[in-house]
Amino acid sequence: MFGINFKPRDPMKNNTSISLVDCSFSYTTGQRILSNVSLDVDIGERVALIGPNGAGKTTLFLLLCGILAPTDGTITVKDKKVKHNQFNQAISYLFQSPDDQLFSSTVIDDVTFGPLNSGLTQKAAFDQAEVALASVNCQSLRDKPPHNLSGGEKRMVALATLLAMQPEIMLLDEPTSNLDMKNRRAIITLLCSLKKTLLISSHDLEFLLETCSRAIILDQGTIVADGPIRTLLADEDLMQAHHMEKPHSLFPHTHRRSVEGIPRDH
Amino acid sequence: MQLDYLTAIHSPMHTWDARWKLAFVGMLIFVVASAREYTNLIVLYLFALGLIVYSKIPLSSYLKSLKPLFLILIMMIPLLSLTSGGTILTQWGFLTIYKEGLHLSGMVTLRACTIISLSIIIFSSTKLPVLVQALSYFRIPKGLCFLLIVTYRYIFLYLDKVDKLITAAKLRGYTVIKGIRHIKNTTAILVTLLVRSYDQSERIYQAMQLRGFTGSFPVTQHFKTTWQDIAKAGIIFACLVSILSLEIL
Repeated sequence: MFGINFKPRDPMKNNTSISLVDCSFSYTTGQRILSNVSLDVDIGERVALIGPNGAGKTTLFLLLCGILAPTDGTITVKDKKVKHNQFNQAISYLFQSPDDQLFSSTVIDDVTFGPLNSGLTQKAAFDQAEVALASVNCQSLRDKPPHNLSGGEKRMVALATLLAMQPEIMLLDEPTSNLDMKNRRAIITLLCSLKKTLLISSHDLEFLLETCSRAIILDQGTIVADGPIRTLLADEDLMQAHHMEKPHSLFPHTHRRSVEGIPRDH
Repeated sequence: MQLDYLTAIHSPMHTWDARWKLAFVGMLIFVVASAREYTNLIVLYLFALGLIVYSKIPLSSYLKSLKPLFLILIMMIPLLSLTSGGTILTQWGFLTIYKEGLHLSGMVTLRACTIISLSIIIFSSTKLPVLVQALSYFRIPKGLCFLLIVTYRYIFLYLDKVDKLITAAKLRGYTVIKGIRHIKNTTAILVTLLVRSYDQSERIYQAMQLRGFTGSFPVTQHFKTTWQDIAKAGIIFACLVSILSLEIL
């Protein structure tokens, strides 16, 4: 494995947000999705989870939030063992498709759904929802039905439904899909400003380079590399071995020239 | 696709508190269903037409909404006139029109048109989610209300999906007539839709669970009764009492 445990841990200081020990998952059909996955994510760390399609990224997320139960191993989130199907307010998950996430009849109903279920008063829930919508610049959409939103707007509102719950850990599955450049940039700025533990799965490697400091490569259900994102993604052999490509921005020439071909910086 | 575009109109009917509207227009529907006198039904239909005008619902939209009903009535009126009753009104060969059958057809037509007109008023002047939240005030089970809201949310998505699936199929030579002839193709489209909807329903439930869903949905709509709401209810109530008195007398 490449660069695993690149960051020396202080055993005296418990700074772990997510911990997986020898986790495996198989469907009842016997199909093995994850094999002996172990990893630790520190509080406030932003980690990219990359890998080819079918590598087990979404399954790993579903295990972390308790939707699926591991067939072997243990998962702890904030020092508490994750229990199957038990609501944990500390962790939230952004689904790949916003249509799975937005099930209420209006945007504001959807964003207040979580806070109201957490036991907040109507006023507090609405206040939290307004702040969440403002953070993704979607205040003007508050009374619209989700089916009238564009793909990008749905994605931003879906993110607001997570933010309104004020989780400590956010698991984001393809957060930039369907987004235009403006919204993509807005998400990058927002994620970089959040003081939360983030685990992001995406095929948009440039986006991950801007938001995460660490990367984990998952392939065929096992972690094949774990290390600083720039080091991992710059390793062409490693990337190709796992059906990915080194991002353009990590090729030196792409930084040197502007569109007109005039050297920009040195 | 927009099914509830008429709810964007501004009219006194649209601003009426959904709970009062449901209760009083609902009662009016009940009275229409139980009215036995021709004249009373005509009065009620005229009253319903008055409410349509008051709701500022365009005539074209109103007639478009009545179209499916007309199709049913066109089939039903001759059937009732030809088969129901004993007093012969006129006869052409083997075809006999009965007086009672014709009377019954008129009653059924008036009753159906009035009930549908009143339903159009309810659904065109209130958004379904608001209507469902109003229903929860009448002790309708919350599970049922939530089911209606989720159905409302996803019906648009699935209409869109059907449209896309048919377009994708059409681009590969599928036509509706061919589709009917080749049931296999139409079935494939429907099965795809069913499987996708099943998968999505699981993911939606997971999304709900992750946001603390325990089986009951939070009511976020706040209704506030004003004197205008009471006045509007009073007008409907006056109509109800008048018709009921006429029915009894």
